Amino acid sequence: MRIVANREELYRGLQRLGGVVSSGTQQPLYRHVKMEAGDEGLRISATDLEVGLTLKVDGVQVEEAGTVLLPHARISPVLGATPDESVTLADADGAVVIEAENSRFRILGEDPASFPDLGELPEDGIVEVDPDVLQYMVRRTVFATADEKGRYALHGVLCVLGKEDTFELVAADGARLAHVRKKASNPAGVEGEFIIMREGLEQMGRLAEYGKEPVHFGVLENRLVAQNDAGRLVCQLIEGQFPNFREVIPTESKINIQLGTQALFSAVRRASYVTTQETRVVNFEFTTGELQITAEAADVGQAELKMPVEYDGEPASIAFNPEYIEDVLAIVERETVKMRFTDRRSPCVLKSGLDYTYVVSPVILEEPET
Amino acid sequence: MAIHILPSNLANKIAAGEVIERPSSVVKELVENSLDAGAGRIELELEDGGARLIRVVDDGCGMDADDLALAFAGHATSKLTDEEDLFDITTMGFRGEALASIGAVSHARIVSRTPPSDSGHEVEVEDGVISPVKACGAPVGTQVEVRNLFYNVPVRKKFLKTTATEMAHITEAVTRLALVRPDIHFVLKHNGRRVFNLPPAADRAQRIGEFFGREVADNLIPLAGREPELEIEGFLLPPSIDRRNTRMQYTFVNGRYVRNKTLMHAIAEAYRQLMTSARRPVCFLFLTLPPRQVDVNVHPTKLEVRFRRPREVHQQVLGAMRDCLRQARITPQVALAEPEPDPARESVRRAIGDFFAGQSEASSQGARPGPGGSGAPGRAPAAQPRHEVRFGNCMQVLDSFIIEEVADGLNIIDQHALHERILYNKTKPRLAEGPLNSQQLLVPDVVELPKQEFFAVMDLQEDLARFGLEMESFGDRSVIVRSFPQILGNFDAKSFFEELLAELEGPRGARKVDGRLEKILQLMACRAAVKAGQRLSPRQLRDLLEQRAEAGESGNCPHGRPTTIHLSRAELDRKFHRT
Ligand SMILES: Nc1ncnc2c1ncn2[C@@H]1O[C@H](COP(=O)(O)OP(=O)(O)OP(=O)(O)O)[C@@H](O)[C@H]1O
Ligand SMILES: [Mg+2]
Repeated sequence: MRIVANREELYRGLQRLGGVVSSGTQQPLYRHVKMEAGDEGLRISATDLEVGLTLKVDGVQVEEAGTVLLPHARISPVLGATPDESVTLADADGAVVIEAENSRFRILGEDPASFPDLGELPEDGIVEVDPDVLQYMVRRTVFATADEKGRYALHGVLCVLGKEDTFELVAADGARLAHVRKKASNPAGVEGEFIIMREGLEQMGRLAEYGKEPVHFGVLENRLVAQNDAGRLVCQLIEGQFPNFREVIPTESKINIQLGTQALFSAVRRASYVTTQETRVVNFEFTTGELQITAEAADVGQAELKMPVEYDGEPASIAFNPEYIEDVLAIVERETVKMRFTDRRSPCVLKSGLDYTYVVSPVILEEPET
Repeated sequence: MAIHILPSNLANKIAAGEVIERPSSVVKELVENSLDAGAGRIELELEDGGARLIRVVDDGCGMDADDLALAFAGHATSKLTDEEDLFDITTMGFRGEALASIGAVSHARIVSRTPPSDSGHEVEVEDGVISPVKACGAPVGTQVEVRNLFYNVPVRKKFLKTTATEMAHITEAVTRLALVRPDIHFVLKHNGRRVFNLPPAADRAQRIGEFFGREVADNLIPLAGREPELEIEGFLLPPSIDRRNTRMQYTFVNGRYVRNKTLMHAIAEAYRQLMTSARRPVCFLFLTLPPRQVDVNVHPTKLEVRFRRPREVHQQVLGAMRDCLRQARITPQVALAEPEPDPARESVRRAIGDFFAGQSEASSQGARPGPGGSGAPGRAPAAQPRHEVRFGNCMQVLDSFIIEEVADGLNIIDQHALHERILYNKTKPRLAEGPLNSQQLLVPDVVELPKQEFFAVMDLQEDLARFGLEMESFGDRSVIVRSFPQILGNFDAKSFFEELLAELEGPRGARKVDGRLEKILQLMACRAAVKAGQRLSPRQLRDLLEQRAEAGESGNCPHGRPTTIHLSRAELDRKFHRT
């Protein structure tokens, strides 16, 4: 292999792969980057075994086709720190020589054949989604996934392909759930659902961000393959039981209120300053025309914030973990959100637009007010 | 089968001692007798965790009037005749002592009929007096009824735990027997409700699934090995399905459940590099060896056995397990298609990896951002230099400790131990005021547990409610968790229960409510606290240090480990030979 590369482009590509390079120590192989130079230019790939990513690198002249496998942690800083605009990479006896005007590095590589085959986009059942729509959907759901230790299926995001081109993503961590519903071109009429790992979906959102064209994706056996002009992503699907999200979203609630997103976010954030790990609770109290948000921790103090709201029903209250409310308010762009709930013990729904629903379970306090 | 009194010299050779400790011991002895009698179906009926009634009904060979007359007499056995036999035991029972021991601490009755006879007979023992044998109508087989266990042993009676705990022990006892004999139909009823009904199973794997649930059943890796004097079969579980203790290591020797050091050690050894030291593997091993190669008469409960050649057994079991794991490719989990590793390359690769790993520190120190180049300063995301996390004159080191400069030296704080102590101290008084804040779950978590753990967990229902953990039983083996203590942040019910049971199981087992609450509190504080190895955010560091006053005078975490070590100036001087 011999290539002349725009250093900045190549370095950017390597940094983007950084997210899927395994940081574990057990298998050095998965800390490597495969560089493949051929007729179509340079492609670089990395995998941590659960997610695999291949990216095209622009600004590369291939002088001699070939493939090398290099440790990411070596090659990436070398390229990052090289001041020159272009660099030459050439393989020599299992190593790669990186040359710029005043520098020459020789980095030992591995046998590229030991890098796993990341697979191709399946031939049938391809769904096509607009890159902005995909990013929007990912941003609205991934934050609500459960961390790895808990219920395994909840560490992923449920993707549902339905009739009339609907495409839904659902994430939940037991105490909350985020659901977004959009359209994706689905000419084959694929219907069904699968759970994609959080990290995989995040990378899929990034792929949409790197490219300009729609993202095409399909499921092959137990993995998802997504592809656009920027590259290709392969991700393991999670086998497991995802809770029935339709049952979790309450259909009707007694109390329905519209709230200013920014004002609510700021009030919850400020109230949370007096919460502690043992009392991570903010209490919402609605009375005619007013929402009062309070928080209290025995060893810190109290907070009390008021905001005007359009409400004239019976006084009502509910308490939440402030993080659950902040998380969602931080990502919705609309000026108002709709909040609805029935009582202190049942789930509360926050809605932003027609396509986004967030459900959060309340915290039951020591002495529920009557 | 004729029962005869053992010659007394033989009787003496057999270790004496208490066989009957609790209802589950009775269940074990009675079911073993039914198995020895060649039963195909064994039905158990219990009332109040066995304290009020234990009834075992089998369809085995039964006893005639003469046998019945001797059944409750000590050292009456049909299974062993002379001293030599003791070294050639093929039945579960051989001591001729179980029924006598049971009869001595309960009101017991046996109704039995042998297949050739047209009617049955019965015998009773009440207040130590054995009644004459009477004829009566009965189906073929034997029914043993044990009522009011320990009515005359107040100490034991008093120490019977709750019904749920006793049921957990009983289920465990039945599990051990039912795993050995999947061909036998077992039915267990408690207070009129059926706990389980296990028709003869196709194989052991099916039985294991019936007791331990899908997760275990779906991951069984069959093991088989044959040596001239030892046959091993069973199942191993991958390291991902692990436990905090060795309770889920089921080992059987010649059809008998045993706990044996040689075997435990071989198991630990086989999994040694596959899991962290705090976790224990799960496996089911069934060993068959000539009866002469094992001594089962070590302890009256027969739970312990001694191998005549422990070294060989150890080696052979370990070898079989290693082969099995290797064949199942139990190495770090691999998901995407991976090419066959070439052993020669593998070692080269490792050598290179190790070489770089050793170099990394030196090279990252030497790295400098490029002089005003066009790109961002060179920094690979994977090799980011760590940021210092400081607060005032404190700094986190090794992601686990905090070093603080004080007037006369240094304090070294264990972040986990300190946080644990703070949470413990803050939560304890709150408990007295009412239940802790409880995060409702949007999707209740249904946790499937092994039977015996299920009973033990349900036994803690009320205690856990005080911590804000609401749950109820679901079916006969699952628990639905509806809310969890908010203090825990992230909650994984399954591992929580597992740790809790391990914690409560200890020798100082918590019989009293206070003891239990204390243990739960300790566990909650431990799980909610920052972990060793966790990089703190500057805010976390500040919060932790600001709350230090809450830790009070105590320099120890609730488990008794120190939270802070002080290194005085004088000590440092001495170490550096400055004096
Ligand atoms: N369910 C049964 N069916 C037929 N015979 C039985 C049954 N239970 C007990 N017996 C007879 O009663 C005898 C005494 O039983 P017991 O359990 O006391 O002694 P064991 O089984 O011989 O020895 P161990 O004390 O080791 O259990 C047995 O040897 C057997 O002959
Ligand atoms: Mg017996």
